[in-house]
Amino acid sequence: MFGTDSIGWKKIEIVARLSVPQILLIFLLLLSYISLPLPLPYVGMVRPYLVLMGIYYWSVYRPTLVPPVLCFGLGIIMDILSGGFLGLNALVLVAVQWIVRGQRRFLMGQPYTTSWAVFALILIASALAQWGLYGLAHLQWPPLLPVAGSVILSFFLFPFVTLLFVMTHRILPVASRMLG
Amino acid sequence: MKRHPRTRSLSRILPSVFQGQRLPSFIFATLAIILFLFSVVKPDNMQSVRAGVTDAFVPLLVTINKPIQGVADYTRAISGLAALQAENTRLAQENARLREWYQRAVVLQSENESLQSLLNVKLPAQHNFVTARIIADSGNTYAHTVLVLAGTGTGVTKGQAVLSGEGLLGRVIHAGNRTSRILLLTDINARVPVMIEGGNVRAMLAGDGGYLPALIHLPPDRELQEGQRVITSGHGGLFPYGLPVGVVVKATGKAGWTVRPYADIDRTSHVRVVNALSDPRLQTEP
Repeated sequence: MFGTDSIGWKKIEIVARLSVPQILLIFLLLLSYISLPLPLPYVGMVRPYLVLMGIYYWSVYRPTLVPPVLCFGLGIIMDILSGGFLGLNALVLVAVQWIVRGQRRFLMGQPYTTSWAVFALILIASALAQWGLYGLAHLQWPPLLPVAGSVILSFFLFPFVTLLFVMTHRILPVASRMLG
Repeated sequence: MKRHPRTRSLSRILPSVFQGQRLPSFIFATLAIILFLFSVVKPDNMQSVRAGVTDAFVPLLVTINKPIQGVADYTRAISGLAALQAENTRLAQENARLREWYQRAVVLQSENESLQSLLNVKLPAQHNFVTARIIADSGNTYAHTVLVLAGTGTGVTKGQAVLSGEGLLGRVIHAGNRTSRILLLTDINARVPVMIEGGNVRAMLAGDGGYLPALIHLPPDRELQEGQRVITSGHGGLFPYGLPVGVVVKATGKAGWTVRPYADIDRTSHVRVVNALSDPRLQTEP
């Protein structure tokens, strides 16, 4: 039998394990803003949508980890760090979580390739939405080519980044569904 | 595709938005839209909140930057090793040439100063620089801004011009306590009054989100040539006169001219913020 102390420790351990995905998300967020002194010119504009991958993955496989308030918060931080319009990233992340969560029963039963393909659709839609809103706000359209480059890069990075999420998923406590 | 068992007629979809699990999503999406519209209409609002949040993220950004910069420096050192011999020879020759130039510059400077004092010329103020490290960029493909680790605490203020080692990079658009945001020449919002050397043609340099900002408002009767130097004209008072910007290049795929900036925008890791100083010689004038 467990004493009260060990139950307390157990809870702390569960909370600690549950916070790993969020810490990973914040790490990915920061990684998106690091300016790399790249060896090639003109590739600096191509940026993978790392946080979007996290929101997509967890919305399908453990939606309680990415509630709308977290998506909103991460989006606002991204907007502030990017120095752009407030709400642009927040809107896209909240919408992606909303849509994907509604379809998760379908997505969970699908093979990985289907999940990847659906991510591609979500990716294209969110990239175009952000590009469109940004252009609309400025009444001038930024070039589409770097956006396309970012989408393609994100598409091919998705399996590697989801590998991180799968690894994180394994250390999550199963019983946490009540807590999380 | 598995659907919810209940039917989704239009009359049921609308109220269902406001029920159960969808409610938070709906609220936050609405909030995001309101914030977006608000910041489109009034982009300069909530600057202090933004600056505060950005400053709070500085330690994290710097920590993550460190290993990545380290790896970048290391790979650059390794890949540069092979070219070291040739580089050394080239630098030695350049150094010898520059030493001659230095001697000439010293002579010319003293001559210039004595002539200026004879003529009682009022010169524009001299400048000094604040050197700062880039710690983050805009993280997306549309906005061309960078965040540097220097703020009002080190004398950076809004509107100052920013140089890379080679030429103009942009200007400070927000200065927080510890960090400042720099709008690069290539951003859609960037406008720099410039002058094309050799004919003193004035124009406006306008970023368009691509890599080569365009020259607009050119006088219609002036012909340009590729390779002409472009410097800041100092008009409007935002940028000092004579900062090197780039060279004129013919626009590809459309009529008109663009400028290839001297600044290597992608690969800059340190910047110099131009900090205007009042010239002691001007202050002593009666």
